[in-house]
Amino acid sequence: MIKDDMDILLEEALKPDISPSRETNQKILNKGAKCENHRRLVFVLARVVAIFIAVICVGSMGVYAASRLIKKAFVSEHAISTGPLDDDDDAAIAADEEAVQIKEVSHEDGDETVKWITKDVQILNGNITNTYYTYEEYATAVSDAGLDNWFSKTYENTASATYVVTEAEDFKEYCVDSCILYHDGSFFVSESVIRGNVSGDERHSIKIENKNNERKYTAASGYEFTLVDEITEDEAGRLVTTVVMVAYDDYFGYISFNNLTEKEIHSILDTFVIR
Amino acid sequence: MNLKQIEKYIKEYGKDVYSFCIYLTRNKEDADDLYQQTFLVAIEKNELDDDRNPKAYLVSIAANIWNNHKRKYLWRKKKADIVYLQGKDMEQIADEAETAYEELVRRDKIELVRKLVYELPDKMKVVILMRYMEELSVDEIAASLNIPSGTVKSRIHQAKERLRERLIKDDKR
Repeated sequence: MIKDDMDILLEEALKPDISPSRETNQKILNKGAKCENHRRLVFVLARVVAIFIAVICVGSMGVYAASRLIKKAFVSEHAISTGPLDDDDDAAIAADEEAVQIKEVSHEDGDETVKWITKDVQILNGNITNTYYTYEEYATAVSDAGLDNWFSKTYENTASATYVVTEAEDFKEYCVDSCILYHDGSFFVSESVIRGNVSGDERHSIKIENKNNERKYTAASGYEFTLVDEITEDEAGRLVTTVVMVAYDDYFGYISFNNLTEKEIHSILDTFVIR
Repeated sequence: MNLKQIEKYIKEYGKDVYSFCIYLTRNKEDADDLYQQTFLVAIEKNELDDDRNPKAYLVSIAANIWNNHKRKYLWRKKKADIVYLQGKDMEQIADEAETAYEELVRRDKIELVRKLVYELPDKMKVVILMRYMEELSVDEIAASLNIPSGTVKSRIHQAKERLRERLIKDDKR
């Protein structure tokens, strides 16, 4: 292309010459780092026998209704699950992840008529369609998805919020993932519901590596959480991530906490609510 | 993406993306927000890749976020617009071989062009910035903004004509 005088003038005038401050860049690194290592694999095992415990309503405000079926957490060597795992299943969860073939299908940007920022469609392994919607806030994502908001308070400072609809041949999964910055750390919420050809007896598992310090905490709502620490070491140092599983009715998910004290973790869990 | 990768992309493209955000938002506070959000969206989507023109990708995220959230940014109480036309910025452009007078004239012209671009309507401003500040091709701009290449060319042409008219008017004064 032949440049004219205006092209040359514009190139000269608009040469990028304004740098962001070090503080601004550090904020990106802090937010990006706080949301690393949160995502983990969820496994669904089809079983005939499901083991669960119905929790009786204790009759105070903020507690879930007696009709909600809460599923107890079982901790094995490499997972937290909604039922006990045998050694073979536990080993399968610990095994290396298989590579997934991803085909990008489309990308859209939202406008004033929708609440999502971007929408992307991908096909995985040729037969599973994932539709990803990104949002500014966790609360907006769950509201738009029609899923339960797991918290009785609004947490500001969402670093990321994604709603994913997964469509396979005989089921559909609706999942919201969100990373929320909290004090000097962060917590990550992943909640999903599966609809379709599912029996309700499926066992869900979350993969954990190098588990440590299993303990219980009963939150203000009466929900008893099983907390497990996952220890990872890399060039950045030692990272301790605390994970809790959430499972009731047809909801399954987890909340993981990075760089937060036990007191801070409890204060977040105390805002957990099943509506 | 890990921390090292994020740092690398900030180091390589931070200035390009930030300059772009400054011109779009015309406000340092909003530019900081838009710049941070651009990188956070890129991190979240985990698609930044040296093989896929990262600069074009980041700039398109910024343009699209800006386009969708202009109302949110514009309702804020405005602080003073960026003082981007003076001081050190100009020193980078000066050509030492020119005489002092010619240098002054040239600096004035550069300053005026910047001001005029700053004031362009958003649709024209975005394509001009992507073309001349970020050095993207017409096809890359079209793909980023999801508009036809013909529309990109037309907006660039209209913007240049508008700028040319203003410069001529200014010369005649």
